[in-house]
Amino acid sequence: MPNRLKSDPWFTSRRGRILDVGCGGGELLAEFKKAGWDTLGLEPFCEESPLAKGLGVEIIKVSFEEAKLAPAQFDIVIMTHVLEHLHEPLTALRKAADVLVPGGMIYVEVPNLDSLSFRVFRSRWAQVDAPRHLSHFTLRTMVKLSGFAGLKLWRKVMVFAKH
Amino acid sequence: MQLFVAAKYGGEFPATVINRILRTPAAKIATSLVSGLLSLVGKSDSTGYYLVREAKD
Repeated sequence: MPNRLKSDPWFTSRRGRILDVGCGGGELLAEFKKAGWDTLGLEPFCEESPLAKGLGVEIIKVSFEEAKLAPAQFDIVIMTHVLEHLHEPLTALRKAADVLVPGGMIYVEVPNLDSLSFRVFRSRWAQVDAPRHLSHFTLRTMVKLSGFAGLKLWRKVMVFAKH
Repeated sequence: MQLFVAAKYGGEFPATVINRILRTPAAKIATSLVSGLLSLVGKSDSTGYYLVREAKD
């Protein structure tokens, strides 16, 4: 589990149901499961079932846009480096908001267009990564986008790791 | 220059050599310090946002 989530009292002080959108091999979900969370992952590009690999987490091979999910069933939705890949990030955020229980939270991590790297390297910045990355966000645009989705920014954190 | 590097490092490109330098302990400490400073001033490469559902009226 990334340190920022592992040490965050909001995560460590509660248990519930968690959805990891674009969960890769399910390693993060496995950490949450170990900590007592009920987990589900969506990954359109997963090669092998993590259940078979022994991680013990359920992963459905489907994109978030195509996934059929009942409303109000997750306490947390994690979207780490997902939004920038989507054609309709607002639609995705609305869907994420829809599957949240009241009082639930979405954790979104995206490349930072306010970063020093972008200011220096501009179109040569590694995170521009076209055509894999279709949208980029600043604090201002993320606040606006989440507002359109009926969401409110509670907290912002700077992230060390590169993706 | 590339020929020299290729001869010295067995045909690898200079970028590989640079990557090797970046993997040294001193370079790792330096990049961590720079990353930390950039994070403090909100200029790191990625941002995490915690979003909550707005209460309906």
